Amino acid sequence: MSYLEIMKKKGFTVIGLGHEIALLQDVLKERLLKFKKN
Amino acid sequence: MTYGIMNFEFFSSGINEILSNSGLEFVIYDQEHGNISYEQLKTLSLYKSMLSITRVPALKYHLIAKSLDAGINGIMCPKIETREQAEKLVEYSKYRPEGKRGLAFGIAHDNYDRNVDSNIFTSINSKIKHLNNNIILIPLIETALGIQNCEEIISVEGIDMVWLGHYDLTDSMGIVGEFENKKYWDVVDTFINAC
Repeated sequence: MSYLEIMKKKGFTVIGLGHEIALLQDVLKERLLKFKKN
Repeated sequence: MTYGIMNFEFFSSGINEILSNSGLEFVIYDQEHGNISYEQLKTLSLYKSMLSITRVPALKYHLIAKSLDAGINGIMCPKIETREQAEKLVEYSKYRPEGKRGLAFGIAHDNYDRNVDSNIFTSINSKIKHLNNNIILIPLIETALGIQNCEEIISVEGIDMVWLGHYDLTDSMGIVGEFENKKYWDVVDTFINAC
């Protein structure tokens, strides 16, 4: 279970997904890895 | 459940629409570690597709009131550790009688509306009340002392919610970045119970 999933389960009602720099990098990394594999 | 994002870097005028189209409901611009200018805050506050909040660098009147005057919907304030500090946050953010924010109307935060007897507001007092009721105040609880005083902080009139600053919290506990440490989760439970 991820950190955010644990926080949600614990009852936090407002959740920040993190900052946009990290999220953008995560998405781009995932896309690139997927593309390289194929 | 409400989801949002912090914005440290990308302040293009379309960013709120992009984030909103992704399903997010609020954005917190970062003035503590990011480099957004007041001009950019003012521009982005014009886009009403998302709730716009800013994290000010510190609990200082001129930082808080200036951001609110730019049109931002809410203030997140770092390192709030005591009831007195939470009360200061309210004092700096709200007009009398709730606080002591300086009056300035017909500028960005009220859409440059100079009328106080328009259809919306019947008097200056009704306008002030409306503006006071539409500011979100969020103390950032991110130290062991803040956790200890969390219940008192939350109980301050005018405080809408509290936010857990996880990284600084572990730092103040001497377990920086140890998010699997039992000590950390015990403190998170204290925070939740206080809420």
